[in-house]
Amino acid sequence: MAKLPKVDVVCVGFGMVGGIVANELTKHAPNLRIVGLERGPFRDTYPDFLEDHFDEWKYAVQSELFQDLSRNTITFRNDMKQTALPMRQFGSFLPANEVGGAMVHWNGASWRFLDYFFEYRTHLEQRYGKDFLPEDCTIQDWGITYDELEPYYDQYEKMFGIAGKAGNLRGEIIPGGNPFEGSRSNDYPQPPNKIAYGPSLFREACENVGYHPFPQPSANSPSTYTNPDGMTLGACDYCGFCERFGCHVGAKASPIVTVIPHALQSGQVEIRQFSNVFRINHEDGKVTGVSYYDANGIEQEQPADLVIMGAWVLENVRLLLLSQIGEPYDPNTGKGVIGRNYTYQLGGAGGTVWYTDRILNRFMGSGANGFCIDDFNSDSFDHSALGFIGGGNIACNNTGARPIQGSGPLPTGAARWGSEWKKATKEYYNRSVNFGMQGESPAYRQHYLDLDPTYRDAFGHPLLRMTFNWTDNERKMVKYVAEEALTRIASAMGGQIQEVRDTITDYSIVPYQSTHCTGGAIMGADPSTSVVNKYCQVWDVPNLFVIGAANYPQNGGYNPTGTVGALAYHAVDAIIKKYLPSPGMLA
Amino acid sequence: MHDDATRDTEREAPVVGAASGQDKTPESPESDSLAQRRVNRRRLMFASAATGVAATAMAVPGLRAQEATPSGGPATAQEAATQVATVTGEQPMTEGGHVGGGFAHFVPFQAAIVEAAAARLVPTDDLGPGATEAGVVYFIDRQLAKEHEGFRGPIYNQGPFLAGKATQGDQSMLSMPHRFRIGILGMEHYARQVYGGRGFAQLDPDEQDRILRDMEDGTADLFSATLTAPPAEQQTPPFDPSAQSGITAKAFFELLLSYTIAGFFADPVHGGNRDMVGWKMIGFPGAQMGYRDWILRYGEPYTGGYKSLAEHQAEMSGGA
Repeated sequence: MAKLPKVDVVCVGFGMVGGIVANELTKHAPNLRIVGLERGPFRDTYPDFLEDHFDEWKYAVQSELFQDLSRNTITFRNDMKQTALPMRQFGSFLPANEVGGAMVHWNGASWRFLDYFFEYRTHLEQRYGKDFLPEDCTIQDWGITYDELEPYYDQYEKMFGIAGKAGNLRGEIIPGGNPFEGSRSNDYPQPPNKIAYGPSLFREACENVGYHPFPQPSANSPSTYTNPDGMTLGACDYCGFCERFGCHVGAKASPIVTVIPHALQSGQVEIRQFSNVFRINHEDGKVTGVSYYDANGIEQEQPADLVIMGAWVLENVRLLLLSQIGEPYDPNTGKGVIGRNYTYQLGGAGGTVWYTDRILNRFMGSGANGFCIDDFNSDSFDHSALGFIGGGNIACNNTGARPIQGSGPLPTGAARWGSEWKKATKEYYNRSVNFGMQGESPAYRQHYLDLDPTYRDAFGHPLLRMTFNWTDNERKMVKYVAEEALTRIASAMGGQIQEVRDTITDYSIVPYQSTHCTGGAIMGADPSTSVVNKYCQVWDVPNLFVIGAANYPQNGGYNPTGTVGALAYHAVDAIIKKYLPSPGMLA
Repeated sequence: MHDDATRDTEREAPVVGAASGQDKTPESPESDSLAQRRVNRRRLMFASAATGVAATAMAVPGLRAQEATPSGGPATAQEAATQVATVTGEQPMTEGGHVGGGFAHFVPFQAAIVEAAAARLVPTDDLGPGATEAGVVYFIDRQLAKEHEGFRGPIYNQGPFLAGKATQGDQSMLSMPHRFRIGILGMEHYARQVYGGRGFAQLDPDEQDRILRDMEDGTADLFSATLTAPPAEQQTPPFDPSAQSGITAKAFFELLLSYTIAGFFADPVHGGNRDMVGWKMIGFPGAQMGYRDWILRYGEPYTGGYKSLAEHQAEMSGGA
């Protein structure tokens, strides 16, 4: 094992978090030397995606851009009585394996959480009383407020060129935007995309029912856009290959077209590809650097003054556990913090409408190309008589209809093969509109992450074990939103066939749902119930920051990416203004 | 993301199950004793060490006969070759204009069965070309040459291997090529049991559909990895049914269906979807740069034609 010369900063994982932090540091601290350790390769717009990305089999089905499961996966069980078993193939979620992280293959739905969501427990207890929360529910306030985070949401949206329409501009409700959103200091830096036919029918239906549709906030740049760093996004071609693919024209905002190339221009940043960090080294309450396997698999030790953990959610948590930093969570006693409050994204409430009298060009679109309503998200509606907490954003997006995975859906009862299948697929492929809820995932005492006692990765280190399921609260939420909202929308959309899905059972690791895993290294105001403070700084380890969706005490009814961006900008601002001048715990 | 279309139609990787007991053999339409003898004579048969015969000869046409079996398999390589020709009929997989031809993974015996099954899953009919014209069998052949990958790419393949709950996903150690090896033979064996010794590729389309339906609904049970050498005239039960492992007929059906549909719709660069026949059936234009000028023309059928990745790459090469 070699001990390398010390550097100032190491970023573990070089996706959105590493890219944002490194980029801001280079702008404000020109003497820092920064090393990014990334387990995957650097694939760029050119040549990688321009020349190749229209390949559904290679990218979407065969997982070209995702974590190499042959080396590292997780184990999963629904409850503590089961034996957790490895997720041997994808899968419920799709972690990335590349410089730029999961944003390289995301759809581009970019959200802010609702303002009161940062004080969710306080909000619900004040409105409904302390007894209203479900049994064993461990949701909690974030230790940061929306108002504190708002300038950093704004900064993230400008850096990544987010397109949308404000619904609440400095307290004024703007028609056509989202009236439920928190107050924004500025409108989105770009106007909404050109939005496809199917979602336009959804919008019309929502308006007719009396809901408040607004354009999906989108990281699919509608025009060429130059961000405050002078980095340029291309204009979206609406090719319909976003999620699971890179972008061929650099129009999908991600670190590889924004913060990372800009950070590299400084000459202060070095990215080491194919590097697998397996331990954060620490001594006397401070980290001293990290140990990793380099591209050849050789163990290396990289000392550093400051370590930024910006791996994906689950790997951030696993690395804390492998490094024995912080007290692992124990679901029996409720004590300990690492792995606590693992949450996900609730699906299961969805609708499909088929039109036999028109075609919809479903293959034209982009990852975040549609309309949404928040009338049933979070606490937008009165829950006092409903017996559950939470809700979700309801959206209709034309993400593209690649045929291996998207030749359907077909109406219930359609043949699965043979001439009848051909007939139905030919008839319905271009005639369906899908919409659905992305629901909140409350945290519970019994849902958590820890190290698996049996299974190991390719290097011999324990896999992360996930213990998670849906509860009656979520089953009620799905049922209610499906019956109350989705059936009305489906009915108002017209169409010759309408179906609504309103039932969930147990969480399964098998079908893809979303890559919206959250929690496990949560933020808070109390070190006994959180891992990091509001600056994403690990309690009692001042030179270690863990930043990402692992910080969420519970997941909201939105895609989580936008809030990761805001947390990263908030954290690095504190590092620059407070930590670097005077290293220590930030108050 | 609200990618409901993907979520709802994504073909989940099938689960390989354990034996659920004795093989269930449905009533054969030719269940008279003559037909039954033919089943037995032609049945998948292995010479075991216990009989003193090297365990290599199989009475299934298309597999090499190195040793005579005691019960009527091909006695010579020549006889085996004759049976191959019989089974593969006109050998459509060597026609149809595919480049190069031949199989990297399958032997022709396996390919003939997979091709025949794919041709029922996505038939050639009055709606146009099916799996045969698309070259689906070549697509599957190429995928199975990637020995250590599953339908979704790289797999975690470290033990211990335990049967889990459905929510925990497929836990079998069996590689994809071995799933096909066992599944193809199991399917062939089952077809011969049901249809008096005729192999799957020799059956009429309706008969093939019945075999596939039996697999899909679980009427056909486990396709077992266990070899036995029963006497010619009777079916010997396995020593202990619970010791049998392999792939369930249903799981193998789901694999065949997933790979067939993928081969019908994947870009032609992967060996299937020749001439983009899958895309043309549904109107998916393929590797287009985009639809910036079309996306707001609501309801207007796209008339920009079809483009494969190879054409796109040719346009891009040396570009930017």
